Amino acid sequence: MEGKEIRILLIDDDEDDREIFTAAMQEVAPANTCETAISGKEGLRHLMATNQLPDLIFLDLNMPLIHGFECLKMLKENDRLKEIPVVIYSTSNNQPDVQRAAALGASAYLSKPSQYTHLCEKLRNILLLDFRQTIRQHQYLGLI
Amino acid sequence: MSKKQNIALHVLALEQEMAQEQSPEFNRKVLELLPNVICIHDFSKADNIFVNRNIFQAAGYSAQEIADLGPEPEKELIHPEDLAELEWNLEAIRDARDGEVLECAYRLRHKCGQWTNQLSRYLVFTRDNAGKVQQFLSVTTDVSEICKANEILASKNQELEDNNAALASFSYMASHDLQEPLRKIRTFSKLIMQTENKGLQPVVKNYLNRISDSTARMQSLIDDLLSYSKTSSEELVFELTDLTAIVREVTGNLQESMDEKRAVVHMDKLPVLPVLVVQVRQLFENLIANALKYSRPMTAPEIHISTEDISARESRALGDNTNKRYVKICVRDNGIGFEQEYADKIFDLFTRLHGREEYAGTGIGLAICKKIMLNHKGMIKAVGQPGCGSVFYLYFPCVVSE
Repeated sequence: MEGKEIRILLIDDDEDDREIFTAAMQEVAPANTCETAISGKEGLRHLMATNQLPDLIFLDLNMPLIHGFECLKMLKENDRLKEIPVVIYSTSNNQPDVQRAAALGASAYLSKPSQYTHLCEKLRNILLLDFRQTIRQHQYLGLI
Repeated sequence: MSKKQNIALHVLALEQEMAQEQSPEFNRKVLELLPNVICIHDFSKADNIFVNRNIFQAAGYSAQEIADLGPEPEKELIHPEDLAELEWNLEAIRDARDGEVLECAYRLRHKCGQWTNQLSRYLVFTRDNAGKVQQFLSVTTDVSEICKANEILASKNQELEDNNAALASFSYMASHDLQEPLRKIRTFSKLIMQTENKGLQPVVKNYLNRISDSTARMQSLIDDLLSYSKTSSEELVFELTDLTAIVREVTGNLQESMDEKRAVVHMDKLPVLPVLVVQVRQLFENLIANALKYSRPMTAPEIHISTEDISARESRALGDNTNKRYVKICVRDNGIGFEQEYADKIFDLFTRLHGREEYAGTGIGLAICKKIMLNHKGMIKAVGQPGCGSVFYLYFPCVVSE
């Protein structure tokens, strides 16, 4: 994925976090296309309808209506969507959540950093990873 | 001979004197004064040959009323669940050795209907010519108040545990939810600076930096407060742990800071002790981080962690209880030190010896250390010399007590 333009989808109910993420992504990799969805329901609806599937999905956990883990389950149960790598993007960094993410098929876990510069750094690192391999080999990269 | 030993000998002498005199007056008066029910049961007669009058108070029945209860009044008065054990004891006394005390706790129903808790102690009294137990002595004490107090204590402890659990989860939620807006304030301040970069006046940039700094301080404060609340509310599970390994882990975590300051840590082999692992890790992290922070300018921090013997004076300060032994661990640094008159104050919550401009910090770190040592039923003391350095003495009990 290095150097290549990719499409990213962020599913997060928090308006501020969506804006911060988009700004960071713009700074780190302006060539990428960054889309956002305001809920799990909205995200799934968009994915089912679109012809242009994202290369990478960032998924928040604590969302009303459909919790991030429920959404993750549905993504991995769908044949068309299950190969898309999912990075959990949450304020929580406790062990049970990190482990649950692994069990449900996420590829990595990013705890929302308390500083903007840290977020940029983490995103830069994530974009350097080869997710095709992690998906093929059902790997979990854990807490990034 | 000490005063205590003197008194003890005096009492023993008196006891012997009384026993030799076999003063009936003494016996009568003692019997009158004792609140216990005293009874002598004779197996050959299958009856009590002596019961003092306290029996009437214990059960609330008069002599006639007890007689009216029939040949086996205990079946009427003792709680059915406790009868079996009581009867077992009354048989077991037949096989008891001289001087061997048997004990039995049971519930007795008072005439007013209330159950009381009784504790009876039995002793062989006389034997027949064949050496078989003929009579035994029993002394019964009403322990209802103690039992009730224990029940209240148990329920208060449960309440306390429940409250602590609720507080812990509240603290976690509160700190989590408080951090959220702070994160955003900091991030958007940074984004303003980045977006406007060239166009921003230096004074505006300054203001934004100050917003960021205050926010960072608040984030730190919330983290530390959560840490502090955790040290009182988490479940206390002591594990035998090699402290050397813990300290190595901590210096590993602080490697970046240590490299930055060219710090050196010397560590003796530390003992293996029963400790609360997470808390002890926090303890050493706070102490070592402090040593790094409060280092002398132009001087690379040197930290020595060692075990030392405890002096007689320290022993007395710890309580001079020969049942409890302590281990003393010292964390010594060559930093800026402090005035000895503040040696106790530095462990107070939110107390700092320096302004924010000089050294960052929340004033919670050492309060946490003190809390942690208290949780271990130990102690922490500090000795400082301005311009030379500080030593922190950690006194850990060798054995965990209830």
